[in-house]
Amino acid sequence: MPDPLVLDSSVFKFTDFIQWLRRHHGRKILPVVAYTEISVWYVSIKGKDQSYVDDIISRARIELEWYTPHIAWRAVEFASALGDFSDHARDYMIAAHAYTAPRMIVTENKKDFAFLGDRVCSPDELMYPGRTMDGDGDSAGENDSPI
Amino acid sequence: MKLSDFKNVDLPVGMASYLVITEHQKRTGSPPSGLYFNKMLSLLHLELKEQGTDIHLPHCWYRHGDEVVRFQMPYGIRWNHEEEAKTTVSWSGDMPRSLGDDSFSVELKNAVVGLADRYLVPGGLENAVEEVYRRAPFEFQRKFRIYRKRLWVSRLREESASAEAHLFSLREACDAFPAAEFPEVNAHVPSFLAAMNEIYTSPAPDYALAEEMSAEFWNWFCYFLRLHPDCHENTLRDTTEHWESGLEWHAGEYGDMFADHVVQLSEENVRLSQHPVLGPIIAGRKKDSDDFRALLDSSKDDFKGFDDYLKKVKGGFKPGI
Repeated sequence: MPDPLVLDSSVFKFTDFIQWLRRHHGRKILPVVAYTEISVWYVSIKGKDQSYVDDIISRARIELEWYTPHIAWRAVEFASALGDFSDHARDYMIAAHAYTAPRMIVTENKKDFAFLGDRVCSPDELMYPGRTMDGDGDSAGENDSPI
Repeated sequence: MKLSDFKNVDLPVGMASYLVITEHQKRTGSPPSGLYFNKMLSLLHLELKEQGTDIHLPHCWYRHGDEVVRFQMPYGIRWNHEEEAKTTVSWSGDMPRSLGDDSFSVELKNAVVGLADRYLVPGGLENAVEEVYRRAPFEFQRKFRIYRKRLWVSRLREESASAEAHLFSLREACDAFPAAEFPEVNAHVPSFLAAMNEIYTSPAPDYALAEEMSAEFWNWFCYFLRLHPDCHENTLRDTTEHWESGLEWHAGEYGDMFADHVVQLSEENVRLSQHPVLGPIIAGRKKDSDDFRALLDSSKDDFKGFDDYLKKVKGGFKPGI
């Protein structure tokens, strides 16, 4: 199975990527913070119905992941280690969903999540591997027994 | 039972976990793999139980055999990877205060040392996995594992794999599928076998695809497997309810992945669209894909100004610390 992808809000404007996600067979995880941002954009600003947002998300087989105490503790770890919570609160809260390898953040703003090292990539790097990817994106050896 | 009945490091399961991890570190200099940790906890739990001691291990049958339920394991345990086969397991913090020279601590230490003597040797881990699988509730688990392992080994060694042998092994496993226990999954066995038959009987079998589709089928089955009453122990009702709540989602996920593969197969073999079982799946997935494309195309203009909106959100997201 491909590594799980944690989606930042910024990727939702790339409709080709959302279409690509639908055929991607790894887990696709939307943190509830990003879900809120996308929903506010669609519902409060664009006047769409919440069901419209949910339809896109569910048809692309994107999982909504709740913000649990476990995830909060991970965000606290980021804030304790990196500081500057005022400027990076939502980044830490979203990145906390990708705390454990091999989860990978997909974002248009890679520098905002640079503290996750090589587990950050852009939609293009996923859709067109080899063209722009810095690392190989594969966090584990292919020869590990799956059984 | 409640979560706090499991999370305290001083409970027997915390003591056992600490001993398994530190015994491995003492002998090898490194923390154990998830596979070793899980198999040792599983065997330790079973062997002690046979002697009348219950460490109340929260565990279930899942993708890699009998596995601990991570969410319910004590706070001191650290995992660095989501997948059991790829994680290492370490201990964070002090030794459990409950570990001492009392008879229970001594019994636990002796059992852990005994397991390490048996299984922390060359080839020992594979023996531990076999020993655990020997106790699997369903024959299908053993047979499907054998099928996947043979397929994986033959690909790894780049052997001139025998498609016929793999197909035979797969059919033998599916013949043992516990249909009455898992009717939802059983309903998909014919389409799965039809697709695998298509792969293995083609002039140039795509073994990577066979492996991928077999893994996806297995992973989906395991969502049901862990919920079976014979397949979990010491799990909280919240845990099993959480597992159960995901079944519908995972069924859709499996269906989509399977349909994508069958569409892919039909691109190389057009007559597949006329297949009585696979044909409707191909047509349905293609229609879904067209509908989704149309939906996304209709929303393209919605994203003008989205970047500015996100910048403002980020700027305003300040709790004041």
